[in-house]
Amino acid sequence: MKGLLIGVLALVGISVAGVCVVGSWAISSNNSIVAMNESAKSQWSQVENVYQRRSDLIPNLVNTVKGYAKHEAEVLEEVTKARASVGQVKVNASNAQDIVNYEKAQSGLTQALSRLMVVSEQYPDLKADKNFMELQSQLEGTENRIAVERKKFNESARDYNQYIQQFPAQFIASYRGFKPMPYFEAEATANTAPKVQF
Amino acid sequence: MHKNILVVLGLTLSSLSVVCAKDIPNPPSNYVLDEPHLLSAATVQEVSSELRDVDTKDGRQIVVAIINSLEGENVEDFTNRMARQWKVGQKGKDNGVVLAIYWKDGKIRLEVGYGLEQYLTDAKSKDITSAMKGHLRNNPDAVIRQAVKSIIAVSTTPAAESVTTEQKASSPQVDPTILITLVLSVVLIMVCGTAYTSYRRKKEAEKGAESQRQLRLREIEKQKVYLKSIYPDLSFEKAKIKYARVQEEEQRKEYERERQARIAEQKAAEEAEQDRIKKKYRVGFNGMTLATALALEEAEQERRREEDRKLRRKHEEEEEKRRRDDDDNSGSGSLSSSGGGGFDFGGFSGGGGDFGGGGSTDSF
Repeated sequence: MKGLLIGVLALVGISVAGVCVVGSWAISSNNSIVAMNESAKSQWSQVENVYQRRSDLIPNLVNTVKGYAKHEAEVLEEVTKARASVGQVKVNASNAQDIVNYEKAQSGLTQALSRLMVVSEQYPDLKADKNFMELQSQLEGTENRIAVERKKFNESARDYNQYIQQFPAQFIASYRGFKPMPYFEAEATANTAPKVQF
Repeated sequence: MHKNILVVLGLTLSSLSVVCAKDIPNPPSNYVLDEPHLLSAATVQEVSSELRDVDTKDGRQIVVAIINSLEGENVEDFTNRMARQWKVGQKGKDNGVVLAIYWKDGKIRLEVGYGLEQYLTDAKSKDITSAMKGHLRNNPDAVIRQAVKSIIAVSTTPAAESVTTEQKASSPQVDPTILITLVLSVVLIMVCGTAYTSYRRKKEAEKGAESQRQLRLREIEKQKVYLKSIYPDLSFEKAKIKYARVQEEEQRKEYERERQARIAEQKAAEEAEQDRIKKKYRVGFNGMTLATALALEEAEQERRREEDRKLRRKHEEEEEKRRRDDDDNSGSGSLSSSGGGGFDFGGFSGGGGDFGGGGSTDSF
């Protein structure tokens, strides 16, 4: 009789321990998912900051170019429109579609900007203008920053995506409703040169 | 028209360069990396000590890296990666600066950490790099010395908390509650385990005692049977007593026999010895008696013993001498080996500041 009692106690003890272990793993897993998600989201806000920096340079740029190249109204118009459409995209970082839309709007602006820079090449007075030169260097710096932040966001999103799709954590992730985040693709302009009509 | 082609080529090249990765060189422990050996030793010394002072004073880590070639990498991307991998700057403060010169490619890149961007702005960085362009090829020592001084001066205000603190998705933190439950469950398992093992041990001991008892009973049975066969008329107790007494008697007889045998042996040995002495000293001839012969034998034995003693003493003295000689000859201890110098410089201390792509690029 005593043996049975001990046996039952042992079994109960082990199963309680097992439940504790599984429970604590589940807690820690959930907390990691949340932490990684938050980190990716904060990295996303960095990306937005840096794109905003670019958007802020544009009014000054458009005015400077207008001063020397009034006839290029079409290109200038394009840039202004693209900037406006970017400003209208509202992004909730947990929503994957939002991120995709935002990225599309921004790459539209990038294309418009590069067309503007190509056009400006033809105006030596504009190129020599001090204000324009400063804006140009600021734009370069901002583009570089954009590239860095996008890369960091991709890294952050990748860590998060990997974790929520790997074996044990995927159950908790799907139960709590955590979805993978999209990555920044290479800019569409990276492989195609803008067309310039003469 | 050709400008468009250049643009396309440049952009496609930079997107391709991601595939072939150049290895980032090891970080320089003296803050100056000079792969093509452009700078004189004096310049390296001066710049190095200046940069070390800045680091010691307020933790700003400024590093100069002159690299032979980019090997097709993108200059901003490679410099950024290098700055982060070398962990330049204090973690959290992000106050690192890397001045990278790619000699064969003719590119300068000043990479500024987040925390210093407000002081070493893009515009100020551009000023520094454009000032370097003109004379870098002719007089690298002077140009770099000047550049370093400017960088130190412009970034002089120690950075406040970095404007953007990076939150890393580091390995998940361990919840204290999890730790506690884990520990509790482990303790529980251990307690159950020990209880079970002690129970089993007791059971085993009981079994052991039981089998011992069985053995004893069997022994007694065997005895009973045996004694019954020898003394069929007596009871078990009486038979035991009789048997014991008989055994005693047998033992005593055996002992007596042995004693007698020993005495006889001794006597025979004594007689044999006496015979030997008689023969040796020719007792009975020329007035030699047994008594004299015994005395002579005794004397001879004494002499032999004395000789043995002398020999032994001589051996001992020789041993002593030999041991003393050995001590003198063994020299002083082994040479001390010099301690190993050099260490592997794995990166700057401070945890590594973050770089957001600020700074400026230039060609020379």
